[in-house]
Amino acid sequence: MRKGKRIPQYMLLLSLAALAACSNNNNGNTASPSASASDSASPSASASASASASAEATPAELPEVNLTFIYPVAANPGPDQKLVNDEINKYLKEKINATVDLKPLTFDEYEPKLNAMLAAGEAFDIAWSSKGWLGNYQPYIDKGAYLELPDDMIAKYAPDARANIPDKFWPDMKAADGKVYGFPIYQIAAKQKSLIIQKRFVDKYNLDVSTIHSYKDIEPFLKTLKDNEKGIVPLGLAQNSNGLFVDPNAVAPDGAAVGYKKDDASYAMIGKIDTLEAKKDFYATMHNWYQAGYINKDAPVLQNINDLKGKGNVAVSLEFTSKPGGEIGEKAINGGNDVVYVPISDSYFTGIASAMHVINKNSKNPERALMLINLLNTDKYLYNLICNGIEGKHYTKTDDKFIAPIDGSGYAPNGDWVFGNQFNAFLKPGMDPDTWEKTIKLNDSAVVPVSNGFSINEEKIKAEGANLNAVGNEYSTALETGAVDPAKMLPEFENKLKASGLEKYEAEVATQWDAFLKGKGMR
Amino acid sequence: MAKTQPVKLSAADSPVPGDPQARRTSWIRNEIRLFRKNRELLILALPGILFKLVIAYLPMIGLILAFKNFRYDRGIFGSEWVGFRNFEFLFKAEDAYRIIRNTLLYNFAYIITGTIAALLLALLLNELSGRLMKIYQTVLFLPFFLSMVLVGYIGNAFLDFENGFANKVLAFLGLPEHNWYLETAPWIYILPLIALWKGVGFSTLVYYAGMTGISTEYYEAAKLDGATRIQMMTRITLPLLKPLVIILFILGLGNIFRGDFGLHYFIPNNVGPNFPTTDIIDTYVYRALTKLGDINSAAAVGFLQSFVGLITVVSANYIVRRIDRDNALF
Repeated sequence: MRKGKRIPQYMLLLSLAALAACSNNNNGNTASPSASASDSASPSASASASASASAEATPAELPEVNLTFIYPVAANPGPDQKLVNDEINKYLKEKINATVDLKPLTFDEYEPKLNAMLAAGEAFDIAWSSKGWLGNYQPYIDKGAYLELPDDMIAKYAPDARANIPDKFWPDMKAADGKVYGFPIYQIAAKQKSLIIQKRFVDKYNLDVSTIHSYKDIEPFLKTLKDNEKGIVPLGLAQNSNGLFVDPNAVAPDGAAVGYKKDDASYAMIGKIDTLEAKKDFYATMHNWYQAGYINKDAPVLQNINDLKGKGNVAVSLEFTSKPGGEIGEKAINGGNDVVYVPISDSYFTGIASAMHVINKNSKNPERALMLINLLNTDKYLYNLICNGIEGKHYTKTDDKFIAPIDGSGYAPNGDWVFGNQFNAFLKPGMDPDTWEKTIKLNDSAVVPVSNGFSINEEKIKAEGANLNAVGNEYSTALETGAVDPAKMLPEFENKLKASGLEKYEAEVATQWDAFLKGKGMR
Repeated sequence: MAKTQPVKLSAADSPVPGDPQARRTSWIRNEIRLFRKNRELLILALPGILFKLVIAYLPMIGLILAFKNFRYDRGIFGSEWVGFRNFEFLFKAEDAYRIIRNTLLYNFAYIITGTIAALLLALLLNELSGRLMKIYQTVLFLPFFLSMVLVGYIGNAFLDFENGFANKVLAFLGLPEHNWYLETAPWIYILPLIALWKGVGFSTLVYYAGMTGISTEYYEAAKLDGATRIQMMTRITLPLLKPLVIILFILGLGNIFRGDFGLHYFIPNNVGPNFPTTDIIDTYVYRALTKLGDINSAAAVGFLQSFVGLITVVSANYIVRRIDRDNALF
């Protein structure tokens, strides 16, 4: 009797709990319904587009098609997105008898949506991809997401865009299987690590920047700052901004799959333990700096260095990809203080694959998609339309090279590097008139490492790769920011790497590296 | 018990007990009769059942991903089977012991402290009445709605080395300051404290709702016999609430192998040196798989966590049933 009376209440509670659990599950799935919702919107759009198209005469013999292009943006481009899209379609219809549905997605939603759309087998045409960031090239290729773009297809449908890209850079587009699955967005392709130093301190303490070639050379300056400038962080580091060390004897730019000694004709791969041992002295120095108060105490905790730099009180910080004209953007990040770049590494070619367009394997019109990619990379009008919007409405032209964006105009995707060959872009106020010429020169003069184009196929070493990744994450930031004592932590780190299968992992990588070198005739 | 009865009935009805054909038809007939009898109730339950089916059961098909090498172009069903390969990395992990230990111990701590604190608060709430009651409820419940990211920032305001509240207080008292994020020991207390602060409002309300369901007759009778308030709490409220506590406890055990990712990622702020006491299965898997983006290994871990959860729930229920049949969940 007693129990019988209680039961309905518990049932209610249970169902409540179950509902709560369900809504939790639901969170992870929200991406797919909304993705399919946006998909269901596109057929109707294309239907109306084709209906209006059939009324007028088609300019080319190509059949009319509608393409879908998804790409990441930092923030919603604005309310005029549709207006610009229509303007683009007007132009594209004349050029290649196609229309395109532009689907900008913010950085945080891009990856899950791309994933959901691919998993649902949607037939979108063009997506944005990169090596190591959003739409990560190799893993998606491994999962059969992107369409292979053979040389003859590129030669047929995108010859002009291909002609812009130096042949010596092209191997970078090759995936682990030696085939090409994307078309690069040509931009800065050289990487040089630099210190960013606020100009006011350089002037005040007469720092001769030409004497600084490595992290060590900055120590006296940091000490001066620490002693004389209260409230100033001499060296600002964070979880997303550390790694001052550059081995002067190795060719091992950040992000390269393997590194090798400069004087080693056999290009033997440098193992992880050797890399760490070479940094022993550096880690000790960083720890001393951290304890002396040169480095911000929250360096290993801080997620985003720009949160700290925004206050304008970070004297020295780190830039991984210093590029011509970069000081202008950096000034805004440093709370409006002028900065100078002081290079501390060689300039390396880092690849043209850091931004690219890929074609979905499920695309119904891959040829036309490639033609659109060709136009995006070669057609100045189209490129600037998609980057900056409509002239007079979203920007004004100040001369033949420069434009001034109109504030709050309703269209500002702020991502020249998302859409196509950046050297076609109009310059924005404050940039050098010869910014693009300088960048192209930097690209051409950059050292191309032998490892360019080599990427690791982790199929056989997946478990080890995952665990090494987790272990690396645990120790590297703490060591690089000097927060922990390397005498204790470095051996611990090394032992854990070894226990997590480093040997097996590196043996497999060495085999692949060997095969790669043999393929190039270098061994 | 209601379930077993019709089966017995059908066995008696069946003309030839050994004949499977006849047994099946009588089983169907029996089901139809039950269906007719409970038609209205079943229709009432239908939306809930459908919801559960679509949201909770249908996606379970995706569990096969844990045993496959998923490719977009081949689809979920076309992809190749790989056996237990996707589970490998977790068991090969050097830190496997550490993350499993942390997950289990923290979850036990959360369940036990949460249950005790919620019961105490519910008892206190039960003694209150009027307008104050609403205020207490709201204050208790508010943290439940904060996102962990936000709580992470609040935590940072407390624990920041230079400007944090905790260090300012320590400095004021003349005690040595701590670089909290780089230490291991404080987290054993900080994490359960935050979990308690954030979650206790919800369970308090659940227990309080259970208490309001207790008939006032018991209390009136007790009062007549001269029972004190403490006696009423311990002799009437708590014993009558026992089944509810047990149900919530067993349900809590279902998530024993699944850590609170938000709590363990955003509060310790992903700082390596505190991993020995903050790293749990979920954060480890996140770190291990973000670079690879491997759906299959992630599915494998989820599968394992659910599987262990199922086993703990079933065995906890079994133990409860052995001790006190009436209080078992099923």
